[in-house]
Amino acid sequence: MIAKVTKEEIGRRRFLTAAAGFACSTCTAPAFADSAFLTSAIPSSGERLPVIGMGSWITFNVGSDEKLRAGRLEVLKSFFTTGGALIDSSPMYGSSEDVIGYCLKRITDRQALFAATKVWTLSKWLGVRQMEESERLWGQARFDLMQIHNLLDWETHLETLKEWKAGGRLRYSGITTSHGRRHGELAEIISKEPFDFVQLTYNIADREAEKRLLPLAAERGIAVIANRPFRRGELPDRLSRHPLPAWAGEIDCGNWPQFLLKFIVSHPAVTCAIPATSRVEHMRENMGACRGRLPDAAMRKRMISYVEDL
Amino acid sequence: MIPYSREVFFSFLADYNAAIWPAQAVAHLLGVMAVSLTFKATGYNGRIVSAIMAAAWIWTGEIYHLTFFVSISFWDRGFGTLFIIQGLLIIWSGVCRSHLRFDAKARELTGRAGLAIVILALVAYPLLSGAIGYGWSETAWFGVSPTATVIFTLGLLLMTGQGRRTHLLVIPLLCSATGFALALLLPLPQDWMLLPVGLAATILAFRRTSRSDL
Repeated sequence: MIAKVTKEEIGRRRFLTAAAGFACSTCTAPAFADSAFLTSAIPSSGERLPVIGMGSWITFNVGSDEKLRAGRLEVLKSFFTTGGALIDSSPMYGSSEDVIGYCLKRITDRQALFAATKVWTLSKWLGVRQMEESERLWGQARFDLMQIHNLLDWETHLETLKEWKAGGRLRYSGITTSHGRRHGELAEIISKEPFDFVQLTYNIADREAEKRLLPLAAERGIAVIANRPFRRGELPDRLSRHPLPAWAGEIDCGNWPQFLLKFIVSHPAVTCAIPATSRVEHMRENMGACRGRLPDAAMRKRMISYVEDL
Repeated sequence: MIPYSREVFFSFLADYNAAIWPAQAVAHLLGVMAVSLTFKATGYNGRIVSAIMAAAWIWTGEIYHLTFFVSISFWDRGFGTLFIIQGLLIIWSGVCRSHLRFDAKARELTGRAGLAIVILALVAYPLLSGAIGYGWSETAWFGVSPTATVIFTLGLLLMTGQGRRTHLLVIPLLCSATGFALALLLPLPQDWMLLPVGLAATILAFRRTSRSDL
């Protein structure tokens, strides 16, 4: 049984446990297996999600190769056994949706699944066909979250998403961008349209979203999914050449991926981050960021300056 | 923005090669035949060489890009379309209008370089794939896959002894630039030759065009 604790509670608790944290600040392998599991609320409903989800860009696009599919099945099993829920994909990701569906059919213990994909095409007719195809590939009667990918024909698809939500065919609607592009246009859209989720690029090196989009999402009550948390592996690769600072133990980080993920999900406006991986050990590392203490504002500044100085 | 990994690329290439066998052997033989026909530059031979080149582009567009690789990459929809367009352009210029005459015995630098590039596509490129550590099942062959087909075509177009063929160079040069970018990102070292071949073809083609303008 996983004890779930909110990001907000953790924020309060961390001050109470700070002394203990500082006392073991030299620890690099924190023992927090029994510590509470971090979740965050979707503002429009109050439903809680684990702060770490799973992306599928590149990693699940393995075609029909049985060996590679078997590997991804193990990754997905590990995701669920460590408490994961939100899986994000897109028709743009090649065979990823097909592979996710293949894996989900072989996993019985997946009640927690929060299925999120995207619509990425022009016109209402093609959009509906694409979303129905995604349902078929995933083996889902309905998606929890359907997002408009990279703002493509967003006005048309938004009408469809509203209809599907009203008809109970969809639970949440969202809109995405990535690589820090088109933030101005996205801000305009979410400031006037009733989206439940927005997905954007946010990590310790790409913090453009802090200026306008994250405050706006918080103000409008929109959940935020942070993509590219590792800049496609570049950040952990670069940072792994340096030792993890001893003070990372104060926020229960045992490795660089957890350090990077906790930075992201500790932003008050962020609901979850969606790292992608094709390796079980990396999935376990990532999901470790769902446990232990989160950094406060002062610690976040310290994390930024440490990484910038490396 | 490449939606698959190197591991998946080679897995797909092996599946593709297994599925189309013996098409790659037939394509390779046709490639050798095309080169041999360039040693006797006649209008009739030009038509046959053009037909072989066009078939390579259309097969690669339709089967490699639009049937196989499109399932793992949205880019292949665009590349498949470009390859088919190039095939149709070659049919129009080389087969229907007989405007392409290939001359392997041309003594000028451009013609010799063209022959060298064609041999590079047919011989050196597959051998390089093996040398880098990939087996025959994971080799991209002329006529059924993009890189060798692009290099082969650039070489042949440099061997055309008459007139300007700029319109037929546009898509191969675009493909050599994008293919090189893909080869850097994945990475695929055997495809890095796309850049020097593309640059050489551009320089030589421009040089020849300038002279024929005089």
